[in-house]
Amino acid sequence: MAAACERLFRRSALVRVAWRGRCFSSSGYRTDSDGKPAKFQPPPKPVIVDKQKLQEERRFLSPEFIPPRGRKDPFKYYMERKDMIQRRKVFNIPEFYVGSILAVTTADPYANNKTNRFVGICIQRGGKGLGATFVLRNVIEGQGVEIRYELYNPRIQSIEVLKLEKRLDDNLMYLRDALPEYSTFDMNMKPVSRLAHEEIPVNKLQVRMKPKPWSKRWERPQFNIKGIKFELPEEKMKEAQKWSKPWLEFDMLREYDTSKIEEKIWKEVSEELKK
Amino acid sequence: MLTPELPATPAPEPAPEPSSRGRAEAFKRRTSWRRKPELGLGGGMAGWALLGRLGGRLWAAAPGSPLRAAAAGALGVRGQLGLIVRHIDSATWWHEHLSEENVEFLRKSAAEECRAQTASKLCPLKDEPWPVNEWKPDSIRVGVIAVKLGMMPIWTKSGKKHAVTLLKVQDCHVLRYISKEESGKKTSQLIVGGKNASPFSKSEAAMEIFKEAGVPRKQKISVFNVTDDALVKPGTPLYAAHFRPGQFVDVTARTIGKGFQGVMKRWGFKGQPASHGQTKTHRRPGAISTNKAAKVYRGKKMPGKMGNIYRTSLGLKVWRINTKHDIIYVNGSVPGHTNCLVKVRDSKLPTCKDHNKNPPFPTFFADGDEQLPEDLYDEEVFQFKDPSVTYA
Amino acid sequence: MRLSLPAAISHGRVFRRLGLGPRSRIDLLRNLVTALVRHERIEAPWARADEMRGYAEKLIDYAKLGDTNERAMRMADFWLTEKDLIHKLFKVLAPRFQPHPGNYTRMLHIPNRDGLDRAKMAVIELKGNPFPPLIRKRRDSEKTLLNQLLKGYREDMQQAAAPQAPEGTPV
Repeated sequence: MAAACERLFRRSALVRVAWRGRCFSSSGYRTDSDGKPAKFQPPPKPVIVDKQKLQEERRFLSPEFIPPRGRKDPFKYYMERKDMIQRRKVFNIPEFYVGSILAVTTADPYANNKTNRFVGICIQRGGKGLGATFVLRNVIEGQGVEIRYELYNPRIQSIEVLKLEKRLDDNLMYLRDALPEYSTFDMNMKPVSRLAHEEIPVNKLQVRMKPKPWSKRWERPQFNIKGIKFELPEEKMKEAQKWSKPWLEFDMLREYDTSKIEEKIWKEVSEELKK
Repeated sequence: MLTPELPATPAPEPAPEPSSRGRAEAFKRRTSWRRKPELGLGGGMAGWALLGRLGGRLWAAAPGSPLRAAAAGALGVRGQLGLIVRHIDSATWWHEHLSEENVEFLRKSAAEECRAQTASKLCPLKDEPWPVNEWKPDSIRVGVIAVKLGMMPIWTKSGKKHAVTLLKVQDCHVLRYISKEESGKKTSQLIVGGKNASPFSKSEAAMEIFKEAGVPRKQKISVFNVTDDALVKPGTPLYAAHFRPGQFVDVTARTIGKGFQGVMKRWGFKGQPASHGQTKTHRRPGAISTNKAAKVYRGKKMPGKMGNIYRTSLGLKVWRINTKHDIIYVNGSVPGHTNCLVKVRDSKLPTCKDHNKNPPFPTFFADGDEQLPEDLYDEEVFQFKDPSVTYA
Repeated sequence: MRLSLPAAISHGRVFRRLGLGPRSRIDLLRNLVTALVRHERIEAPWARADEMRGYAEKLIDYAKLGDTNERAMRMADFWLTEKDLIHKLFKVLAPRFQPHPGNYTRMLHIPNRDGLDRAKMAVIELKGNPFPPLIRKRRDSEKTLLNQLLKGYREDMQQAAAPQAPEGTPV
């Protein structure tokens, strides 16, 4: 059903809007079916009431702004941040998450019209500061393709969010070992629009995997993966629990509380961007 | 962390001044209870120094008696009223002999003094400068001492990515001039210090050089060979604008220590196979000499201590200079760990000479005529103000 | 993850290896934390005490969130192996340290252990405990000639600086 859902989504069939709406909880949809919009109007009204509240609550800070824990001078990150803000002023880097579907256009000296467009699902975001990256994955003609883009690379000409949503995990590298339909997306996909103040929908899709062996043993607790429908025998799953480290949760000195830093940086960045 | 101002200068970094500063100056000597407190207070104060020494010995002797704290429970604690445990706060002569207000006062005044010293050196051109000469192709300038901050990417206008290292020139001053005759070397030398540090842990003799130059104590001191036309007066501050984008520099620093390592890590030997019947020999050097030689040649690559030695990266391009925060963006990696102090100077490679022409000579003076923008870029560097790179 | 002790933790080593492995290390520290909360002053090998110190302080930080906080309760439940101490943690220690932002413990170096290993030992205590103090009070040296001279100088400088700035420190 999930696969069907994906396919449906690719075709962006206007007729089955309501069905899709049910599937993706409250993901973006507003299409001009006849009677539906009238029925949809009432829900936004209460939403408008808490819209201001939401706008205040949901501040988005791109994860590469948060400095990693370490002994580097925070001043170094400040210097990097200045360049990042400068780039963001001339180039729109939208909000997106792991699990969102993006289309990235890059300048490519070897392509026909000197640009290259790639559509795929974001399976990983990495790096801090100017060197931040994200990985897009798609299956093209039966061949899995992954491209790692640098977020601040001047060769990137546009980043377009086709579908903004989250998944159950922060890292979707397991899609490499999943059935290919989960990472197949139409290259000419239309962007799915959504209301600005809406909560980011979480896609609770659980993917089915190819038979083992996988690139990693995803069932092990260290990965803590929720987005896989494991079809392994019971004793295998039990065996994987041998690698669990239940004490790590209580190791308080491992915690890295970024809330204060985040707050400060968010203030700094938003002020700078407004200028 | 977010202050756009320089978070560079740590607050208490006082240094004694060379001038006669009255009696309070004498207290500013760092005097721990281990060392004789060198009070220059005149005759009356000698007794206090003696007292300090005596106290020090008493302290050292006191905690010799074993002590049992209350591991077993409250019972063991009872008779412990007169327990002597040396705490970190009572470790220094200051803490033992001065009242809290006085300690506070001395700290503050010393920090104040350090700031005043730095401020007084800001206009070297107006302040009896040494003669400024024209640059000649064979002149060798002084270098700077910088803090390695870390690395980041930089892109050129053609869309190519380079890794750069950020080097921050922090409180860098020329400390002393040594003439050719004095040093006995081929060229005269300039001693340069970088990054202010606390004066309270250095001996009087070691502080001499800073007192002469009239600058706060530096964490690192380094010697630069310079030609006679490139001399800079001691006390002159050096800035990142001493270098210009497009030129090439050499960076010297102490590499990260790796400890005792085997030949595979230390010298890149191949080792032996991991399996296929191999026994007891996997990472060993193998033969170290021949039968005929019947000895081991000197300099044979063997296991040993690795790292923690001075290394120089030659010919690194300067991509960008930040004049406000004094940062040099140098191509590629640089020896040493983050936050270590590195020595940066014009590249001595003959291939780089063409790019190093007409630098600010003998150095960049902040009070000179030259007005610099905040960021200086090499002409190839992509600036983030520009729109994205496209290929025609 | 302590990042402040440069000597012990160069090359990215941020933990000490204690006991027989990571699990054992936490268990060992757990017993020490429990003992500290029970007795408020304990003697232990210096390395263990130092390692445990961070955990003890963090535990009190959690306790200050209150016993209705689920995570704080889980932490207390894990770190205190003797469950009667949970009550003490939330009802005695948390109110005691409520006004203080941190630095709840004091650690002092004591002579090496006498037994086989001559290990470096430390005594660690919670501040504000009912035991007699470990540190001898500092002698009041206010009246000594040195301090009096300095005081005079300080006041002179303050008076001299007064016309320009009311609270200016002398330069």
